[in-house]
This record gives sequence, structure tokens and C-alpha cells, in this order.
Amino acid sequence: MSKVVAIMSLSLDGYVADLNDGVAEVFDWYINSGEVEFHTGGSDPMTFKVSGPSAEHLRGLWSELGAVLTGRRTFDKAEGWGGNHAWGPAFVLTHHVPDGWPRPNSTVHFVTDGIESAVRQATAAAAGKSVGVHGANTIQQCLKAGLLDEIHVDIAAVLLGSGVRLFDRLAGTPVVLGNPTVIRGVGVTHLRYPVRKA
Amino acid sequence: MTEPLARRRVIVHIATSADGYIARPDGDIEWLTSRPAPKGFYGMNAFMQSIDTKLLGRKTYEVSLRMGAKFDAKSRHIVFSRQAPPADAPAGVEFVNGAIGPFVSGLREHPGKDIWLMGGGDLIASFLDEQAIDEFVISVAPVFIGDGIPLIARRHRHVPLGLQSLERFEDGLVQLRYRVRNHP
Repeated sequence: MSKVVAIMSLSLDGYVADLNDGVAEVFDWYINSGEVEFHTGGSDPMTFKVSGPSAEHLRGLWSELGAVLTGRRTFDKAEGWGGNHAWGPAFVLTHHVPDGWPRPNSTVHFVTDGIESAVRQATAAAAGKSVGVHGANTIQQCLKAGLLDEIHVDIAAVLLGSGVRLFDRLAGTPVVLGNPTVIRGVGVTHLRYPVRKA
Repeated sequence: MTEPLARRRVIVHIATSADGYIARPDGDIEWLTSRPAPKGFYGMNAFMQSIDTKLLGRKTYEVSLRMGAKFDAKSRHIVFSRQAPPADAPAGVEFVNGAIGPFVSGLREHPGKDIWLMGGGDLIASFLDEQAIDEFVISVAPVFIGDGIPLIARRHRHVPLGLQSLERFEDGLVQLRYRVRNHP
């Protein structure tokens, strides 16, 4: 079944990035937490090196995903994933389509008419698979609009003390989550929560 | 219970929301206390047996008092505060206004059980600055509250942790026990 799934890495004290938008500390587990290689695919392929449990978790999750939805900040940070995101067609929620985009031979699309439209388009493009959502702001908009089915919180074993929080001033709280599945990796704990629909 | 001569550990044992807050901006923790806790109260009773000293900041102390906390004599309660102690403090509650590092070293010189650093975020930050924390036991409640007081008062830092154990309770709360790395 097609779901909308938010995926974020957090420090134990709740930061998704440091004060300079740097994500090295919370994403360190992707590149440096074990000996199992995980190849991402896409136009900018990367090879992760993770522990056995994290590799199994990633294989399971990535096989479920058929499209990606992000905000403009994530798109800029990733430099457009080289034109093709590893999960499939990418939908970037933005007020203005960036110069030079969309590009030929690229599966990156831009949505300027709101979160509902972005989720609708990404779900259609995922063709029965799930839509992965990245970016604190986009996740927040999905949650607020009642469009999120699951949220994956990868808790990195680090305290950052400051930076960008997953949610700052999220409305409509408390948002009560269901019972998570829990996978213990090395330097990271994978929690997968169902979102309870109101 | 640790061995009699084991180094006494300073342990932060606290609950957070899944988005990393220990309380709402005004200190409210109804999102946490309204949850029906399963039998065993997330291992809290066993933890209470393993400690004999509780450390807390002045704000946390005052919130606890308002919530009806009883500072009984079973353990030593030490409130860190820059202000003068209140005249009506319960017996058995000590107020200290000194440097954290030497105070904790002094505590560790006396044999005893482990030491619970209860919070809040300011005191945890000051203890981290002094490298005076051995472990974090964080109970992540399955709820987002969207805004609030972070686990640690905001200041840039990079403290690597090692996960020691992990337990999921039947109501979806996940308890993570970390050791602070680079610690003697």
C-alpha cells in the first residue's frame, strides 16, 4: 500500500542539523557505522557503510519507496541529487522553480501549489509504492495537513546542544504516535512510528 | 546496586518527547504524565533502588514542589541554585551554590549508590560542561509536542555517546541508555 513516510535523522537532543545547516553529525551513521556496504543508486550514487541491522533496515525501507517529497532547502543542500533521486521521481515543494530547472533527463519536479498537490503528485508517481518525505519543514506541513502515515526517526548517538530542530512551534500538539518498531544499529537507533490519524 | 567500591555514576534519567523536548515552553509535562504507565513504571522503581542522591536545578525543584513531590529522607536531595535557599525548604533538601566540578568530585569520594541528575536542561548543560555526567537514560515518549525546553540548554557542542541498552515498552515508549564517550 502506498504510504507517506517521513524519514529524519536526529541527535538525541532533537536536532536535525547544526547551526550551519550541517548534517555531518546526525548522518555520520550512514557513512561510518559498520562494514556492510549499501549502494544508493540515483544520479549521485553513494555507498553507505553501516552495521548489519542498519543495512537490513535500509534495504527494507528503500524497497518500499517509489518517490520522494522534499522542500527547497533539502533540494539545494543536495544540489538536486544530480537530477535523479535514488528513490525515484522527486517532488520539491517551493514557491519558485529554481533557475535552470527542470532539466532534461531529470526526474526532479517542482510543485508550487501547496502540500496537498505535492503529496498527490508524488503518490501518483510512486505507482503503488510509498513516498519518502525529507526536510523538517515539509514533514511539518504533511503532519499538519493530516497527510503523513509514518515517521521514521533515526536517533544518532550524539548530543549537539544547538542547531535546527525537527519541529519548532508545531501546531496541534500533542501529536500522539503509535507503537514504534525499534531496530538497534551502531551509533543509531531506528524508530518507526505510525501516525495516528485524527 | 553497584559494588560498594565502584565509582559512583552520575546518571541523567529523564523522559523526552519524540521531537526531543523535556517539557513545553512553560514547563508543562501533562503530555507525559497523562500517559497510563505500564506495570513497573518503565523500570523507574528499580532505578530508584540503584541511587541514593538526587541532584536538581532550582526551577525543576520548584516545579516538582508544585506538582506535589515529596522530598523524603530515603535519598539525599541537592538543589543547585545561585539564589538564596527558601526559608520553607523541606527538611532533607540541601541547597548548594558552588562550582559543580568540585562538588561532584566530593560526592564521588564518599562510597554510595549512583547519583541521579534529574534536570532540567540548564543543570544538565552545566554538568556536561564539567564532564560530570556518566550516563543518559532517555525515555522517548511516542508523542510530538512541537516546541518546548530541549534536553540540554542550547549551546553548540558535540558529545559522542555509546548506546548501552535499549528497551521498548508495550505503550510505545522507548528507553535508551547511553554512556558518555571520552569519559574516564
